[in-house]
Amino acid sequence: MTSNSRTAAQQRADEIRVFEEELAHLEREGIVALTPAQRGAIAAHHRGLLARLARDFDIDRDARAKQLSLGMRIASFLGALALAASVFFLFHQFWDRFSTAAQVVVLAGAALGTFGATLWIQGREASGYFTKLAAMVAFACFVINISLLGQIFNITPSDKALIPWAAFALLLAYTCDLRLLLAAGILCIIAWISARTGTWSGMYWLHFGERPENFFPAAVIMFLVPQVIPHGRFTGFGPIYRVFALLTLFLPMLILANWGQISYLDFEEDGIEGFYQVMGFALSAGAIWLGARRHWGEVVNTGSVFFVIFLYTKFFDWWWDVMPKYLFFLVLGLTAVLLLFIMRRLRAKGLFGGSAR
Amino acid sequence: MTLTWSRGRTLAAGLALIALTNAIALGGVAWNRSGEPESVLKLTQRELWQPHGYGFDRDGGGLQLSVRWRVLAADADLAFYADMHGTPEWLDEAKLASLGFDVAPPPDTGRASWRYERQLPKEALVVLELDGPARQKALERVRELAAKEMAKGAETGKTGPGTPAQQAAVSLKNEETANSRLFAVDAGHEAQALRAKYPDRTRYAIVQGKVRPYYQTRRGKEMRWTGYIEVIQNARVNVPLEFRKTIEPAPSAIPPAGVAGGGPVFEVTVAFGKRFEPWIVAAGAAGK
Repeated sequence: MTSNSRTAAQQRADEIRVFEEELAHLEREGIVALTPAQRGAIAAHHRGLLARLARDFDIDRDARAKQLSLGMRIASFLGALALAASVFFLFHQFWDRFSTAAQVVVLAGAALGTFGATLWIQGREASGYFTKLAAMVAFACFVINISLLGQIFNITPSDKALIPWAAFALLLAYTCDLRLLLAAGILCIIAWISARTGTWSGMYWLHFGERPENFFPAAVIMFLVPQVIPHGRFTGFGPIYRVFALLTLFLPMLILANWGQISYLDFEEDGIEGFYQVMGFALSAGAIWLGARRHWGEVVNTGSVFFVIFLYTKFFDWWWDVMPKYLFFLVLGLTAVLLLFIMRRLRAKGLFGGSAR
Repeated sequence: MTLTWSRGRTLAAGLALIALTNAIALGGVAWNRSGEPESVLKLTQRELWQPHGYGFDRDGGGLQLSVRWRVLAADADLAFYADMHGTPEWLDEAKLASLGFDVAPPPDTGRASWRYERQLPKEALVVLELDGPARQKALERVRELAAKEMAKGAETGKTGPGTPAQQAAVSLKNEETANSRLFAVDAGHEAQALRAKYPDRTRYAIVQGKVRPYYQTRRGKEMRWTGYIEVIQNARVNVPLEFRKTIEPAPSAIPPAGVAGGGPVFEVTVAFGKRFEPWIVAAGAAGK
């Protein structure tokens, strides 16, 4: 099994379910009438196909199974976090009983063993739930491996540790089709690029968060990754890159729009804040436009959220002290209604590249 | 470009990544500890504390000792504050400029000066001096201050528990028998230049740290740039299993001198390597 074929199998099963529902509608409305033989042949073909797909790829055959799958995904995610925490505290609890050599062997062995176990489980499990659990534990073991080596040997903390952590997370994510590990890898890369950007200005790497502009290069690079490297085979990977890129862009921008003193820019604080407020509006509006043009729902949503946050932040600056609170919140509500009207009109006119209705 | 890997290649890549990362980390440790150590200090419980654990620290997690370093404050009136990592008298504008900080006077406007004051810390090599002139000066300052307070107490008759005179006597006792003798005395970027200035490798250790500038605007004080050592890297030293039996039973506070078994309980020899990273090479009972 490959992750790609499982995705394709699930998509095929969903198409069959939609087809059956639509056919039932058409028959009820008298638009089409299949003979019992035709209906039986289609049903038998679909039953056989779904049975084969379910056997080979552990897909959800109907809406109820899909709901159950969501529950299993949540359980798998929480279980993965709990197991990773368990490994951490297990090391912590018994650490002082080992000699230094034994500690090194245990750390490296745990990382190697859990990684091997992850691939072994992945080869034997179609659903991916247990693979996700194992992969999270393997990643936690590797992070603990390097962190505790630093503690044992009093190694000076370095941002370089983020590189192998990112590489390991991405290796697991792409091998096992795991979005959670992809997010972990992306966070490591963002932290590393931002830290490097900070050190170019002469600061100590751990302080990169104190100048939010350090995050901007990482945001651009993360946004471009799914454009340069096609991610069609991996479910939801492209959107995750884009969402993290936009968060990495807009969150620092939002901070700078309200707290200009921490900027690299050597201007008056008010000027810096005004600049980032304008940039925030322009880029979030641009994200909505680009997302709509390219049919990137996540980009439209993230852009919309930040456009509204930038807008509300300005409203707060202007009116919170001078308006009665009921009026302030009324203005906020009416603004949201106005935005809905505007976006509906734009959608209807097809100005975002969609078809006009 | 597409991403298609067989499981075999993934396994090989993952194992190689883990092995290589561990090899690089351990290779760095080996290099740090190779040859003659950069410096070797004999520290006692005065300079090495067992950190008090909070939260999950109580569940174990190995033993580490915190290196307790101090600075000789520019303000002599602060002599009683033994743990103060405050503004050292040697970290003046010239020293800050040599460390790469902009020490031009900030503009008058409040907001702009706030930005200047918030210069971020920079990495620097810090020289730690063990039981040297800085410690002697700190001791003299405490003695002078204590003598003044005790003289005042004798004049007014206030020498009982809780009085400034009695507190001064306690401070003096602590300075003589319990406070750390390890002082940060200089900083720079060139290890060789610092070592040439402080050649005694058993008294002076060069370590990595971070220095942050500070614009002193306190009332009654001259407005000027000064600074402080924000952190000394690796100020927690891991205790290997073979030394734990010597260190772990020690009380967290040094027993008062003058009573049986008083004074520091253990003595630890700490070496600093090529990367200025420390490790414990020996541990034993402190020579009282």
